[in-house]
Amino acid sequence: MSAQVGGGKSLWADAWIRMRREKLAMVALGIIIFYSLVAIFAKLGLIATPWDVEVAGAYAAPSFGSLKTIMGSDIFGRSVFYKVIHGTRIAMSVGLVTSIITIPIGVVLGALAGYFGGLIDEVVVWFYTTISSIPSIMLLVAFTYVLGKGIFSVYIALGVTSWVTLARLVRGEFMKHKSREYVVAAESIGAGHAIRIFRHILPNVIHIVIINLSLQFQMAIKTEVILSYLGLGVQGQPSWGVMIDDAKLELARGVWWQLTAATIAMSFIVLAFNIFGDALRDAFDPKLKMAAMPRREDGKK
Amino acid sequence: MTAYAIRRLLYTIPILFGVCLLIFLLFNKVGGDPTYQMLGKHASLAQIQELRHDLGLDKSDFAQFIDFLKQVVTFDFGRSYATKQRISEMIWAGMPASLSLAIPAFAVETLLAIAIALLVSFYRGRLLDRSIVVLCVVGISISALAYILFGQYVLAYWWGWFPISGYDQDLFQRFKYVALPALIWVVVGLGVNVRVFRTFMLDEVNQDYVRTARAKGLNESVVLFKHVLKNAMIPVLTYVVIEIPFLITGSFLLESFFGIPGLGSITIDAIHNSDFPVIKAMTVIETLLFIFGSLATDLAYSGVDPRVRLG
Amino acid sequence: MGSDGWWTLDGKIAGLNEWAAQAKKSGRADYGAPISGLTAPDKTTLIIRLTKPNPLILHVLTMPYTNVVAHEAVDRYGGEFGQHPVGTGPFRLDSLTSNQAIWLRNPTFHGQNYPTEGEPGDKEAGLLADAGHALPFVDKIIDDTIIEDQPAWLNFMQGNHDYLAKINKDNSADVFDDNHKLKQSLVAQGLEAFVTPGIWFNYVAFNMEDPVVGGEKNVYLRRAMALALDESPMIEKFYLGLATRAETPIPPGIGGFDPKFRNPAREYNLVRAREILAKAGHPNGQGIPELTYDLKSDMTYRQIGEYFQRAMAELGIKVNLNTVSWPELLSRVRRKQAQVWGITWQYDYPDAENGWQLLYSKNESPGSNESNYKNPKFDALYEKIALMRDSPERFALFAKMRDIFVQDVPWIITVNQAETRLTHSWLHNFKIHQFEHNIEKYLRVDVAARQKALR
Repeated sequence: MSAQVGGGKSLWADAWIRMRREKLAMVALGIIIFYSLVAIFAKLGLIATPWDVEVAGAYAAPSFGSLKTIMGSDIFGRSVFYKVIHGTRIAMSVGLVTSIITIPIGVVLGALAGYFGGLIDEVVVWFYTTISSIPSIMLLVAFTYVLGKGIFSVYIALGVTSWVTLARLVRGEFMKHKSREYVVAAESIGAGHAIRIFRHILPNVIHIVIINLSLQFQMAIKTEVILSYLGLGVQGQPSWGVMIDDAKLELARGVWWQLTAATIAMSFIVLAFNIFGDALRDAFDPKLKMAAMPRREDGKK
Repeated sequence: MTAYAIRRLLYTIPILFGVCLLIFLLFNKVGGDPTYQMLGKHASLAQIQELRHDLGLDKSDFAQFIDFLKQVVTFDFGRSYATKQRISEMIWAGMPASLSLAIPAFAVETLLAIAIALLVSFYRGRLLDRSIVVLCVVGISISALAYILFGQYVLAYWWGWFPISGYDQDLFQRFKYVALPALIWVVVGLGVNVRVFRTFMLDEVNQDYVRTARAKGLNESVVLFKHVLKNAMIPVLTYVVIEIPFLITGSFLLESFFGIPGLGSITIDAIHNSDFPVIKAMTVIETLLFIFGSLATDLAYSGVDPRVRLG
Repeated sequence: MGSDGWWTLDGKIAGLNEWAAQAKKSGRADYGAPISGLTAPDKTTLIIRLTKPNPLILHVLTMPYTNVVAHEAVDRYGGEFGQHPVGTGPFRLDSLTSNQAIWLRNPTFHGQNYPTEGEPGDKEAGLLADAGHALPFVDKIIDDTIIEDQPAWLNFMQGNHDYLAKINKDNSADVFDDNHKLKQSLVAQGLEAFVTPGIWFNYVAFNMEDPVVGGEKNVYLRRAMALALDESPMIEKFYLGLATRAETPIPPGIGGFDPKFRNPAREYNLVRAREILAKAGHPNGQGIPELTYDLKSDMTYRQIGEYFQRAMAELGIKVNLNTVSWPELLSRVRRKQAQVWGITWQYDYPDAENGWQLLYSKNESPGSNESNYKNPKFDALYEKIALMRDSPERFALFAKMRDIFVQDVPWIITVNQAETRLTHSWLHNFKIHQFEHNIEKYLRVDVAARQKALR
């Protein structure tokens, strides 16, 4: 905790050194990077393209003949392996876009509430308590009804509903920091509110965002599966949720590969984010503990 | 204490207002006009106007919001579009079914999680602890849907250990139907709970009084059971109590896959049928349960621990 | 009046509208009040007096809206009668939850015997083996509604259910082989599949009041679009070959259906479609604004929408897909806000009038003529056939209406979907009937065979 006064750098350097020692966390980071690369390559059309053509008969079992059929084929004879890769693209994009929406809202509202207190704080807290009082799955359902279905709605719905945790954490940190010496000192040399918020305090609490990010990603990925199951998720693209949803009937016919492939692909990335998130939390701020622990994926199983 | 209770109670009023406003905006204003869906394929203009009038859709937004607040206060949410049944009756009818799955599953899950958490804090830092923590994280990482699909196919259909799905009015007969979904409930939730409870217990293990107890030469298991467990129960209970109101509304994935006619199934059905009054009513109920659940928890907690204050 | 079945009786029975108006005024329906057109001289006779001759009333009387129910039960349960139905059928409701209804034999059933004659082929199929026997054959019916496909299928396969009423599109790929027959592996397990042409058809509707696609002046555009949409890949892709091409609003099984007729507006001819557009001054779709196609948010509807979008792209016509919830789609259509949309019509009763009334000008939105099609010549023909019973003369008028329909292209009619059911071999007397949904009274279960099969 010696890092607060000197700005952000040594906090990050410290944390990195601590992280490096955790082998498991480094493996998890490797997995995350690998998934991201797969997603980027799939997006650029460099791998697994096109995914929506027949590579074998309907429901061909996995065979090691070629990469395309290594995980078998689906009802239309499309490669399950390719679908898993494009599912990775969708999953990572849901995580990414959701975070892009969540972080500014969460950080700004949390910072304003924590820093200014008073009426602003009351309003922000009221706002996020209101949002978080409605079970997130019902809110997601409502949003997708309002916005129409599809990946765009999934982005917005997840973004709008999941900034609350971040705002709450950032607010708490700002409340702690605003009366600390270094902030008071900045004020005494004439730094305005904006400078104090963004230049002084924010670098000291930004690690919360990073920790929250790992949580955010896995929640987004798991929620996408549940939304797709409800028929409210991604449409016309091979997301893991759609694959699991498709597989609802396949298992009964002994077609286990699509469900298994999507489940395993999803488990690995969620697992990696879990481990990495834990390590981040321990490295930055062991006191946070509960803050970055996932609860159940749909609020209630 | 009383002052805190009053403040906390007053604080729920703006939250309730905000929640009602948000639900109203989402469902009544943007959710689409239900008249056409309700009247079916052959609707006449006169019928439409009459129904719109009956539903109060021709009133001003403000008047409609007041109507909605009345519904919330009186718990009378009108009728389902799909079954034409009174929603309040659907809810009363669904509650016992939801509870007969949720109560046993929740009890087993919580007790088991406490036991495992206690066990791993006894062996903290050692192989058993570490492997159970890893196992928990792996368990959390698998989608609940996968557990359900595989569980139903393998355990119920393939091996025939359980019925595939169903429900019985007779309480005793019901247990055989509830067993498998309850098992899956426990498996899905255990990883999350064990991890959290373990943190609570380790918090206590590192407290001074535990060190003192050990220094006095008390047996480690006595320390765990007598001191750590007792003190860790406060955070454990606060964590768990907030879930209790939700037992009423059940689990929609498990109920719909295992044919349990509870509130979860009703909600899923409503989502599939775009049955907005039911979706809205379920949202309101779950939200109210959450608000009053956390209110009760906070009040109870402040009774136990006088340091707790608003904010 | 709040009922979705009011249209079946509105203005048709003497005194009924006055009775409804009175009920509305007093805020309470008095089921004991006399209605001049409805009298019951004894326990089993009901005399109905119509306001004017109406052959369709016979169909209406077969619909659930006109079931005879016990007025004591209606008095007692009021709005909750739907949960406590008391009627005259062979079974009485024992218990009802949101996903299960249990029916027991009605001890006071007035009695009915199994039919002694059937359609051609019924005798050969063994459907007349029980002819003349007293109905019903079973003592108890358990009707399970299972939301999820996996438990529904597994329960059926395990023999816990005697028949499976729902085979959805994703399901049927595993049930039927490439020749659209039940898969051999399932036949070997003693399953039987029933496939019957459904009495519903799908179509792409145009809003005839829309400035871009509607009206007389844009008929060339509708014609070109209709010629560019090939329904045969749709049948394979979305209905697994079990649907048939639809030519007119009269599906197979309805009086007046002409198996030989091919709708010239619906042949697949991209070259001609392009010619028509070019001749109208829109070569390659130039100058035609982007169209909006509304669709219900559902996987299959979505895929069909994408197929339509691709087909129109061949003409250079851009289509924007607008996915909305079902109530939202209906609101948009019935407020005349939609432009082009995909929809299904399911017949209410087996008479072609029910298909043609979709184009009758007085039924325009918010009525069932969602396309807001208006043609006085068509209206005149409709008004005639509405008062006729099926006859060669009536069918000749259908042909005239059909020709106008082909000419004006208010819709692109696509397919007639099929109905499919699966049964186990121990269930007898099963047959799909498109309008009689209460076939349970005819069913007979060979209990010994079931026990043997399940052992």
